[in-house]
Amino acid sequence: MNKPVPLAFRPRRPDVIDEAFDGEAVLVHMGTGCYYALNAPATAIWALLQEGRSPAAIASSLKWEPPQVEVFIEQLRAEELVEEAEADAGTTVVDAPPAASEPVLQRFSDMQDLLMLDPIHDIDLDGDGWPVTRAPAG
Amino acid sequence: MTAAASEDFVTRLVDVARAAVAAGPARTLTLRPAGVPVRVHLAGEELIDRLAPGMLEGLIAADERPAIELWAFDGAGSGRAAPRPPWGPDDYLQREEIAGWTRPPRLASYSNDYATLSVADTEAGLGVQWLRDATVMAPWEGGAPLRSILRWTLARHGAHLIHAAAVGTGADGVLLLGSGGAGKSTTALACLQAGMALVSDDYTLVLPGSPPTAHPAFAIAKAGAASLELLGGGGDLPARAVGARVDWRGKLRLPIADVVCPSLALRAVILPHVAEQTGAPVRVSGREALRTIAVSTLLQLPGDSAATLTVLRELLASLPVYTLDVGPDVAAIPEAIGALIETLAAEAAA
Repeated sequence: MNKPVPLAFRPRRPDVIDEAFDGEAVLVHMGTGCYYALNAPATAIWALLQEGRSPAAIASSLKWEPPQVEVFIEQLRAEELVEEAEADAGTTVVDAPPAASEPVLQRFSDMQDLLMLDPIHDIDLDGDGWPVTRAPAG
Repeated sequence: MTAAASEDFVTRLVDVARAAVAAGPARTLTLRPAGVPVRVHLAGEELIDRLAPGMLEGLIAADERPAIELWAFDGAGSGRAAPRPPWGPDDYLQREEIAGWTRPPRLASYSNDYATLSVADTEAGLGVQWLRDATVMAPWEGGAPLRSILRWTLARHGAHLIHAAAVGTGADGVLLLGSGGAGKSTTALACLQAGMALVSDDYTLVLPGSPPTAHPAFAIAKAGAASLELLGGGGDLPARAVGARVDWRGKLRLPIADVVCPSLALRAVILPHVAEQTGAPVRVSGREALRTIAVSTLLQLPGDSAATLTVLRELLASLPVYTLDVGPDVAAIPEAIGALIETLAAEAAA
């Protein structure tokens, strides 16, 4: 019997984009208009998630207790910043921040209004295959 | 969707655009944004009338091959529709993006409100904008014509179009970043009126480097009635405002092709903020600034968002970042920015 493939969580691409700045990552969810600031421990986890490391492998790599990593990943899942994927061994070496400092995901939603100005429309197609905007209800 | 199907769609779209231009009436313009030779073909009187004034024309040598070739045509004027798209009805995303077409080499967006398709193949250096009817084009189109296909194709040449203004003195300048209403345009026009150099009040091309440089992309600045009143009767703004077209927000489109500055070495990023009184620049962290302006900057333009975020991060990491309160005492704005540029340019030269 095959050994089950360990579960990992990768960033939801292309909806989620990210950049590290001074060792701390900024994430932007282009689908929701929310953006996030990660502290150094959270950024270390994020870097390993991008490689497809499983939560257990991340905890081992950072020499943390697994629940510390799992709780943070659950926050990322709740914000739809990551999705399930097959685990990969990965090769990146990440400097382990002290386990005493908790990973923190700070969420900002003040720009969501900009995105909501541009909702996805209900689409009908004309004879040439191009969208025809439906008249707004009411 | 296979790469071959995507490539085939772009090829067929370019063929239709070429046919529309060949049938005329048409106008071909040459541009040189950030030094990149670009040829643009506009088909139809309506498109020419609405888009050509916003284009910043530049020379291409007779023996020079354009790095980018763009076409724009509309169905109503040319009687030609874009070929059937290779994507389905579920592929239309927020921000006018289309699933599978958000990253190079092939990008596309579709405005459902204005029935406008933009498609580019960045490797081939080709882009097409097709509108169902140019008489109902997006009202902002005239101020920044073909901005999506220009942005996508220029990025391959290292020139990144971002939602920012740029002003300066001599060869040095600052980039003004912020969401709509933050005071970018008023700040930029106040600087122009005070005799400073203006690259752009809305969309600027940035070439990353040491230092990064700013370049104009369009030939229009915009000014609302409130801004013009604040700026007063000095300079030549009132003359520029005579006969200027009005955009969708009631702002005047001021022609600036004759005064626009072709290049500035960037020494700082400024985040203007409308306030009761103009203040002095206050240094802030680049990381905080990235968080503050990333979303509003990214949401302005569909496609290739990751590359834009990278450029923003590089700018904010390599340049000092300041906030600047801008108030109704507009004469104080160019004074504050000019003094900052002078200090930073002297430091850079030392």
